[in-house]
Amino acid sequence: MIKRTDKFYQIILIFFFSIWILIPFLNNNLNFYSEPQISKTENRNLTKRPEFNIQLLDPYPAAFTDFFNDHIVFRNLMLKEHSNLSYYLFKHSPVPDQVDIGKDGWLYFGNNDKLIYQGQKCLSGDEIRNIAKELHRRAVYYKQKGIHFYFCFAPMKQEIYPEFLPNNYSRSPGGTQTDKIISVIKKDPVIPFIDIKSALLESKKYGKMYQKTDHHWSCKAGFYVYSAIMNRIKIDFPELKPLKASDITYNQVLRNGGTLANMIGFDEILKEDYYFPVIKNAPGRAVKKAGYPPPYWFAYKDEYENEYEIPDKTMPSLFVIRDSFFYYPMLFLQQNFSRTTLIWDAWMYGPNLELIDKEKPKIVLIMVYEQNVGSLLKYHIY
Amino acid sequence: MFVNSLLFLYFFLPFTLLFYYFATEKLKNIVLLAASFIFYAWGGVSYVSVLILSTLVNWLLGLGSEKSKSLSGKKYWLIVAVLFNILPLLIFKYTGFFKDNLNFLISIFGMKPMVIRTFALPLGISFYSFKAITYHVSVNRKETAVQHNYADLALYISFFPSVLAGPIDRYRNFLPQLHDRAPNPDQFASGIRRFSIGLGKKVLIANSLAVITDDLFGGLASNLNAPLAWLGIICYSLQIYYDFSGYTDMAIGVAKMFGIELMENFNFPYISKSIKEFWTRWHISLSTWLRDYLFLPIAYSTSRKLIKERYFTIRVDQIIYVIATSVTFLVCGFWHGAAWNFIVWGLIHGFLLILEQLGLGRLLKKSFKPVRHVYAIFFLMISWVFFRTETLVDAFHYIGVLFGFGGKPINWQLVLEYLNTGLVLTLILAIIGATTIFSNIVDWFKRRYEDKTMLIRIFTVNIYEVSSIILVLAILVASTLFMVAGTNNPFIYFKF
Repeated sequence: MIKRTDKFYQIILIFFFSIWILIPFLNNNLNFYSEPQISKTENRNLTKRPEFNIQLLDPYPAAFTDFFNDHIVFRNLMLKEHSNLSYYLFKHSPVPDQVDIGKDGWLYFGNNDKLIYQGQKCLSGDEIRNIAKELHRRAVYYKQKGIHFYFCFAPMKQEIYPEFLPNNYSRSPGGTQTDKIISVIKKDPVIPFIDIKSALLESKKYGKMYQKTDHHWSCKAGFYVYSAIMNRIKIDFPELKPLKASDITYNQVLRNGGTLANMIGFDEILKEDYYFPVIKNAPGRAVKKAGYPPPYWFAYKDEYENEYEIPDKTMPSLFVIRDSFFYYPMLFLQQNFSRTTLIWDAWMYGPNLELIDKEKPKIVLIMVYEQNVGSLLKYHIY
Repeated sequence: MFVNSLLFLYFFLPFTLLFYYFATEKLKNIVLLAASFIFYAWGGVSYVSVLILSTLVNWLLGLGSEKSKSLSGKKYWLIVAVLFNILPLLIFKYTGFFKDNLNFLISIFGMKPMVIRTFALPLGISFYSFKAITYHVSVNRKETAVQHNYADLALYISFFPSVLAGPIDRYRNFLPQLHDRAPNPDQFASGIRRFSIGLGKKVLIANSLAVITDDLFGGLASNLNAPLAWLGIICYSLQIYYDFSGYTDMAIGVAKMFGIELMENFNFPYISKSIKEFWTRWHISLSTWLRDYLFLPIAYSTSRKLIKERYFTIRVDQIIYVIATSVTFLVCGFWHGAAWNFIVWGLIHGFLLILEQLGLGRLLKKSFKPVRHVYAIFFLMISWVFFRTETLVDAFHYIGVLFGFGGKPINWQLVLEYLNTGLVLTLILAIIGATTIFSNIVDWFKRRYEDKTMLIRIFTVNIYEVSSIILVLAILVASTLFMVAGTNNPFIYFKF
């Protein structure tokens, strides 16, 4: 009797196990459940099935494994459930390598940001000197063309809001690579450096400078970044009339969480207030794009170039080499310059000499998100 | 390919099972051999040729030894076979180690470093080389006959569940199962249970603990404080056990599904009360291999050379034990990895075993049981530091921090930061699972199967079987969730 019951349960177990491990195969043939080919939370296309080539066998297993992993049935559902389990039950990040969960719901970009902040990733002395040399060469080159050059960093969120970082997340005691680069370029009078980090630390008392769920700064921070830039440029161009805080009011909008919330799959849950500016007497208008060709691999081709103009043509023109951090500052900067050209060159921060020759700006500004500063090592302007 | 991957569980395993059970009796071993080569090729297609060549030459060496009539001739064939299996291991695994140490030595004399080509390590070479040696020794000792069928020997050496990380099954155990096995639902279901438990141990426990150990061992030890360093080594001690024993459970479970019984490899090592007991419970297939093929031959040959009863007032059996243990654990450490850390790890174990043999063991036997547990666990954890750190200097720094030297001031807030709900639950489960508690619960249920009262018998068998099915399925679902999460590769910006 017991043996029969025992056997019955063995068969049940074998049956369920067999069905369970055959589900992906069954779904492949019966297609009872399908998911999109672009993973929204991962911001990437799913891997395509590799072609089998008998002449080139070595890469095949890894490529097929990637394909299989990306296309396993219920993948998105399982990723979402894993995120829920990690975040709500286990109280840790579903992607600990990518996103850190700080205090009071503040999220931080892990990855390079974390390594740089903790000093585990640091450019060598030679690399730091080479970056400074490249900036020096650019400054000299632009000066020969009668262009004023300015350089600044977009600081990582950790630098402005360390108080919400987890307790076991500490800044490198010897300083970060950005500190070391700044200390070198500050000694070079040819490179006019704009200190955005100090401006943001100073402005924290006026509001939230970074979004809690995004690695980018807030719109309000964008204004203080703008002010820091304008204060420096105005020394060389006194005719500029920067906007004042009183010229701007903000509309508050509750929106889905930002980049970091999206990475952990909670953008629709971790909603956050965003502020959008309404500028009094804003003369800046978007004008027809010149049509410069973006790099073929750049996902945000529409964002590659933006041009704005104001009616007052006596004002200087500005050319900005930027990344996503410039989204908010550009809303304000476009109001002050006769023509503002913004180039987002896929985080390469190149010299863009050809475009500058065409645009003939009076001012060139480069803003680099500090974790991407290594990109400057690829260049040698002359 | 790893047995704890989505591809294995949802592609390789179901198709291999289907082909296997639909194949005729004669073809079943061929299906398993083909599956084993494909499984191995997944970790490096080029290296499967090394495995095939190794199995082929081992087969030919076996046939060669059969042709030899004299004992000395057979011994010669055995030496050639052992060298054939050890040499690739030395070349692939240890060239880099010898090169680095040689270059360090010659740099002291101001000479230029030598350029010696190093090779990528074929997966599982340490395991399948030892299995091949087992075959030849087994034949030489006349425990088994020479294998005339290449596919059978190749299947023993490269059987996919155990080719990458053991157990290092004995040929004499495997041989009878090559042609005389009849998988039954009991064995298959037992394989499913064993596989699922192993998968859970690896994916749910070991991998969760790995996040903490990677973080705590990843940076400089001087950035840690003593409690954090202890948390790191506790997590690592549990991680390595759950990782390795989980893999073994999966291997044994999968083998059962094909009707093959592999040898056990772990038997609750952390309940040991001495290092000697630990080595009867930890990586049993390796420890018994080293005992049978290294320790005992050394002890035997040394005993023939030492003819007096005492040397310098020390008993000859103790001298023999010291020599054989030192060599065995030096090899054991070096087998685990080509670095001084592993050698020191092996020597620590050898040293403690010698101490236990020379008197510490007797002292421990008289001690209170918890003291004996604390002794064993303490030294095991200290020795794991050498296993986990990259260099000897790192290991000594880490041990210094464990005892309050060279780290940061104690800050319990930092420790609490790591102890989130997930880690606390994992640690509790891991610690309980490392004891015999769960196993005792299962035994209790099984004893009720024999109860005199029919109602109790029926009740317990239903409760046990239903809950075990639910547990197995829950582990499979949860492990799949975590394995899928491992493929989560989010980018902050679109990456096309």
